[in-house]
Amino acid sequence: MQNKKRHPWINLISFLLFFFAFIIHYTDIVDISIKNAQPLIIIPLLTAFSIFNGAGVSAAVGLVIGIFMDSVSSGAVCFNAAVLMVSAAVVSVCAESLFNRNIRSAVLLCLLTSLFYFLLRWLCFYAFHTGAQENLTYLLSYVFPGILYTAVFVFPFYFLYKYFYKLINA
Amino acid sequence: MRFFFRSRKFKIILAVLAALIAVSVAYAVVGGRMSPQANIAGTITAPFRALATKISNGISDFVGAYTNGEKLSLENAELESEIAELREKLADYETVTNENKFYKDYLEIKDKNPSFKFAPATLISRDKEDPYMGFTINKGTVNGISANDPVITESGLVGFISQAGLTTSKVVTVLSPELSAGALDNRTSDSGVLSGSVGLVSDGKTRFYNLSRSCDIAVGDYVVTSGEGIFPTGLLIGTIQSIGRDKYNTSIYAEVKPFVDLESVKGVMVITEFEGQGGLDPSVEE
Repeated sequence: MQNKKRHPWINLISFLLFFFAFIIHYTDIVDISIKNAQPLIIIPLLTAFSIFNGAGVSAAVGLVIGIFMDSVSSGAVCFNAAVLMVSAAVVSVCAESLFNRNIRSAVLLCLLTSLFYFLLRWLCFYAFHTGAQENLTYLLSYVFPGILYTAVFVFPFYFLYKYFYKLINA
Repeated sequence: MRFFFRSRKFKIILAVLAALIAVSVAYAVVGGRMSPQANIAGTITAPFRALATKISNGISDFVGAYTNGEKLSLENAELESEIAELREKLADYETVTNENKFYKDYLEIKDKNPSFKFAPATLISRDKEDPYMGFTINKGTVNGISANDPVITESGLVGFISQAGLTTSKVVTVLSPELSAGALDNRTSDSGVLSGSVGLVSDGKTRFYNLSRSCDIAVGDYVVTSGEGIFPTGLLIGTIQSIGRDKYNTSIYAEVKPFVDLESVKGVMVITEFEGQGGLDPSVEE
């Protein structure tokens, strides 16, 4: 069951987390990349948020974050908005109906979300613009390391949200 | 889960998704513009991103000044020997020397190209999902910038504007395969096409290809824009680092190291007007 209780301070903390994740990702203030592996920390944050929230709220947050990402990211104008909205809703529904809300589910859902996002991005913007060799290089050097590295960040965000909702429901 | 698919929430999500896809398709057809919602979001976040970039630059400059002293002195010694070598080469190439002087600063560019109109801009965010180091600048259509405008620094070509929003614009760099520009070897005038490649991007290089088998290019030659496409003639791009033949042995290609260090670029100039503007779209596939 999703958390029905809402607390203003959780909304505020979530807003700040998304804000700083956005700033960290799109500026040079902190470089957390390892060689070509560039994590998109907004994905594990959104996954952790969606696991503990309903599909409607998660989709709305995914949509807003996606719009902000579209304002700075290359590619199609609404790509991030559409993908993050759908991903957040699906994660929320899956967490509610198919999985338990434990860390293993969180890691699996985050991996699947990252895989969906990065592969769709590759398919839409790179796959048909370059040759097979270049695509393979791009997938192996950038996409797959990025997916794995992104999924690692679900741990702190999951435990943070779990702690918050434990406090609320106590 | 079954209940979710029958719920009103699901229908709303589907409707929003359909609207987003429709907007995406519409803007893909028009090209070169940001969607209204991205424009608003970009305008809202631009000051925060600019502030974060300023803080980041300040910290890296401060830390760099203290921690990189030894490294810098070694680099300096290496650079001095390189400069001596280059001076020798440059003495033989008057045209190259002239080109080098030509790009001392923007004012000189402006003097030599009276038709150029510049819009100075600052980098406010980097697109880290883009392996080709694309970034966003703090100027948009209200500053006279439009899609496909060339972007340069005093060192040479940076790229072009891919999407122009109201107050921010996205830049595609010379390392990207999205950029396809007519280019020529400044010494021999051999012409070809310059475009990025994912295999070269980790080395910070781009590809100069479709060169005739009888061309006379050499390692160390300067590559400049030929004036075909969206770029004006004579913008410095980079130096040839290696030369090879394509797999069918029908043409020559070269790996080019851009003069502009895209990792450290902070301020750029957008050429909003120049003589002969309105060439071919750079993203047109070969």
